[in-house]
Amino acid sequence: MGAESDVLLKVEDLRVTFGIEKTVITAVDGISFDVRRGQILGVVGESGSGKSVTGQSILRILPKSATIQHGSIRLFVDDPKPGDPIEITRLAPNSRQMERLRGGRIAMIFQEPMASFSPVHTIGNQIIEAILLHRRMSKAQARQAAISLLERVGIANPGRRVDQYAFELSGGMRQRAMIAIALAGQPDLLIADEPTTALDVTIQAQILTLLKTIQAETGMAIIFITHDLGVIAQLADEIVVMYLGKIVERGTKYEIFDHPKHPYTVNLLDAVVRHENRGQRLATIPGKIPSPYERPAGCAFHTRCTRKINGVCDQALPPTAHFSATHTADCVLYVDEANADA
Amino acid sequence: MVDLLRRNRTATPQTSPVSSRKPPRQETFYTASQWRLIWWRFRRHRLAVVGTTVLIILILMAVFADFVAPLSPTSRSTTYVLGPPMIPVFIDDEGEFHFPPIIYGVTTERNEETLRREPKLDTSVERPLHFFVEGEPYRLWGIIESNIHLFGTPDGEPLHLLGTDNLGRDIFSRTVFALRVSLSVGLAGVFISFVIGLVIGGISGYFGGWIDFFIQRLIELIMSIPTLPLWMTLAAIVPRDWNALQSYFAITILLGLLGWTGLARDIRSKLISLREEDYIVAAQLGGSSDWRIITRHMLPAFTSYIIVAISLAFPGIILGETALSFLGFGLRPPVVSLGVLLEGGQNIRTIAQSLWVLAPTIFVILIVLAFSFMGDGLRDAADPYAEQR
Amino acid sequence: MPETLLAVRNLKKYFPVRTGWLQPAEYVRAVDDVSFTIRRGETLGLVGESGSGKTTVGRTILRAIAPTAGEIVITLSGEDSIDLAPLTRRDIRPLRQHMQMIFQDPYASLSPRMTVRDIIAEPLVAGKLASGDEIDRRVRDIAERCRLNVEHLRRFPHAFSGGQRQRIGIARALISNPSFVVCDEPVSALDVSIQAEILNLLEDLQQERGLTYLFIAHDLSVVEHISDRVAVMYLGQIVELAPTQQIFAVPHHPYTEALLSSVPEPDPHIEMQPIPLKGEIPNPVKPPSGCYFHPRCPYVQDKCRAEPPLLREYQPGHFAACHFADELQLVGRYTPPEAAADSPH
Repeated sequence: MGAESDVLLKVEDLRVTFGIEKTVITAVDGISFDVRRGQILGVVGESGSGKSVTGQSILRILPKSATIQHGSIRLFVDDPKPGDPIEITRLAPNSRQMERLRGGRIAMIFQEPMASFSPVHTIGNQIIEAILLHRRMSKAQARQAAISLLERVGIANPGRRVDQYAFELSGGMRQRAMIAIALAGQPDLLIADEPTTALDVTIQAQILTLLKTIQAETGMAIIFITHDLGVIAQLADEIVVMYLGKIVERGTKYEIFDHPKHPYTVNLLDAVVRHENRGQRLATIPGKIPSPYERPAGCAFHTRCTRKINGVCDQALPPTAHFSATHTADCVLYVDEANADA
Repeated sequence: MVDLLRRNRTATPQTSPVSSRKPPRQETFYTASQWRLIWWRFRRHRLAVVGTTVLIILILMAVFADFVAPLSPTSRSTTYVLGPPMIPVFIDDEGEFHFPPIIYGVTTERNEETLRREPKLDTSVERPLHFFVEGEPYRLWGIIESNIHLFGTPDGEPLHLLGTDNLGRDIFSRTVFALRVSLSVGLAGVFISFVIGLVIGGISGYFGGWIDFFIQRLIELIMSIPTLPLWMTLAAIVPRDWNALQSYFAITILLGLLGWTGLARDIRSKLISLREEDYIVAAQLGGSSDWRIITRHMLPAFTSYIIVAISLAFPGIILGETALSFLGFGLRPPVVSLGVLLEGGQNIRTIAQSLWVLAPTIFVILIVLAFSFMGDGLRDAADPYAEQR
Repeated sequence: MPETLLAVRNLKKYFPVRTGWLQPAEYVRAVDDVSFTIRRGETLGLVGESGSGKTTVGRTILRAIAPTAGEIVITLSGEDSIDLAPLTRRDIRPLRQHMQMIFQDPYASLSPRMTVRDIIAEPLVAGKLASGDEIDRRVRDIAERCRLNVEHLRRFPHAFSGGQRQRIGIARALISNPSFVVCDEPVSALDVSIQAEILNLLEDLQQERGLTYLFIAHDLSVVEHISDRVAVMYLGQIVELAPTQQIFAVPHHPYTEALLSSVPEPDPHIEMQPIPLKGEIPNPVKPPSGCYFHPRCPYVQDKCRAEPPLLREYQPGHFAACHFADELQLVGRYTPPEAAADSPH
């Protein structure tokens, strides 16, 4: 791993549970990962993997029924004090500091942009508000800044669009406008939760290109949450693979796609529809994702794993094996690598 | 390797919670019909359960009015006129505990200002309250002859829980009988509204187009007329020489005829949204006839909403009756309804000196709140599938 | 060449939109003069972006919606051809058993108030195709075939996950032994691993029962995997129709080329280079003049603005609606099969 000073966000042993009618469901089960400055980290997983809950925990926008049981989320930024990270788990979700952080240091974009816009304010006013919240300038300057932001995210006619309402824009335009709002606070970290899932392919391609360009220009880090392996292969630098609230594997995108180690990652990549396996049966993962009420003991994947070792995988949590500085997998098959590391 | 695993396990303790749900219970959930799911959700709505309980008690009181009321609605006391409520007490003046509770006796006292003799409670006389005592004979629903009442005093002396009115009639007994009338007006009125609403709303939602447009404008027109003057005008048309029973039916039908608009709208909008559902399209593509789609696929999805709409329509009709009768346009004595009872409380002097004549108001509020709470609970429970998406 | 099962000719579906209640109605041209055929036993993929009219085509063919104009001619084996377009709802009912639909949303498409057994049995019961024990026997057969646990037939849909619900939907569609099935985005709401299972199941069932599919999807990879031929729709029209490998290798319409270039490859070594399209999909109430794609086309010329192109056959079985389909050298997603064969390995 790179120098510690590169680390922008450090998540350690994060555990988030949901209380639903006396039953406690673990959505995120003790995960740790770093996000480095200027990096695009892809978080990939199927439904129930906890990928969205992870993003919501960092922003502290979890639903009311959710609790962060333990763990830390530290943001390494120079303000308020240099060298002193902000411990996000200690802030109250609606504290002033957290509100300043949200949309400031950490911005977000979602799958459904319509829900994030106020229907009674123009796009421009919402961007201006975001700008004034985090930067010191006059209203007229902020309006100019808003127009140039709209231009930057590829909205034609920004001078006119700035006075329009969200419902007057198409889905792709709305997603661009939401990116403009996110950029208004000049964030260090952008959390993008399935921002292109609801879009058509041509629009998706444009948004992905836009995100790449903006990332390169601003040097901000992006956590890109998605279920789409194609999107993640195109966009991410590093990838975290999640299954049932656990990180099962992480590595650079080349490590994950070229040399997947964890049986789940291997299965998942095999199940993807590709040009090469046209006319063949697709590989599937046996069994089904366990219900959140019945999380398996031991390795979460053991109920579906073809390489499961009876009496081991269903008993103990798998060790973490290191294959390179960046590539790790939590699986007992690689116990030698894990030993070497220990 | 085993060593390492063990170390790893102790380092990170088993945190995955093991579900407390047992398989049989889960199977019950999986095979639970819509009504069971609705009931499970309704049960969680505390206020709705309370409302429903209150409602059931009120309905039972109305159904068994003759048995619950210690006296008939017309029987008068010559001595206890505008007498205060006799509230059962467990602990008397001397701090002595009684079970069953006791009622104080009656005496008269001259009012220094009005110089009239007025009935007062005499705390020196203690009468025990008993259940299932013999009293005035009655015929329950005109069939069952009996003289057993729910409660009373064994000495046979009258018992006026909520006091008496200016003619010496027992307010509690009259209220119980009024409940029967008011609830039955509500029931019949809602039934009429519901039939009209279902037909008109159904036509509007199913056919759409110009028919829908016309019906919707008609509903808007009816809704825009202020209700009270409209009721009063129409009620004034009811001939004065009709007897109590005739005018009772007339008022009921009147309220029903004017109350359907909201129901019709609910039914229409639900129909329209249902028509677009994938599973209705699937039924159509499966070869179901229109009749089968409506009865087998739409109606089950619909019934719970209809129940909600009906339970929320009740208070309107009951309040309508109360308002009309209070103003003297609705039901007339000797019929006792909650509105008729309150009409007696229009006299300022009575209110100032004997506030208890307004006791029926409490029941009006109880009914309305109970229906609203129950309706709210039903509305939240009516679509038990909404959360899953 | 196998015979034609379905022939769609000049199909149109216009939806009226009323701007005010006294204004004359305007029309959304959801399906604007579409013609194609489907052969017995093949899978025709229908791709397009939102608003392209692909779902309306599927629903109109099955007569969930009445067409504005055109013919929908179905030829069931051993029977005469029937044009479904002019039939009334009542007349069409006996034909429903032969043509069914699999829906996109596994939640909305199953009535939550019926048991799984009743949902699957519905086409048999509604069409009076079986009675008594035979219904139960057939429900169990098809449920088993769709790999549903027959012990769970008494359950309601809320007991099932998305993938299992989709199997229920497939069982319902197939219980009446249809010959033609419209699959309307059947896997787009599912997780990757479940998606693979459902696609396998659909392919197996097709082979066993000789099914013919119209497979509607926006995911080009999925369409490529399952289809024999692919039709691309844009703004209510088919702009290109060709055998799958050909259309993916050598597209003849600029819109197809742009679509293909936008697919993110699940391979970090192949970088996506999307062809940027100008603007957005136009309002289908007022489509552009000439070629509907001309305002966004990177190769637009004057002729495109004036004259609407016809869907013409440029190679055997390869149709495209572009004035310059012959001249343009468009890039596909992969090397053409012939070219690949030529190059030494």
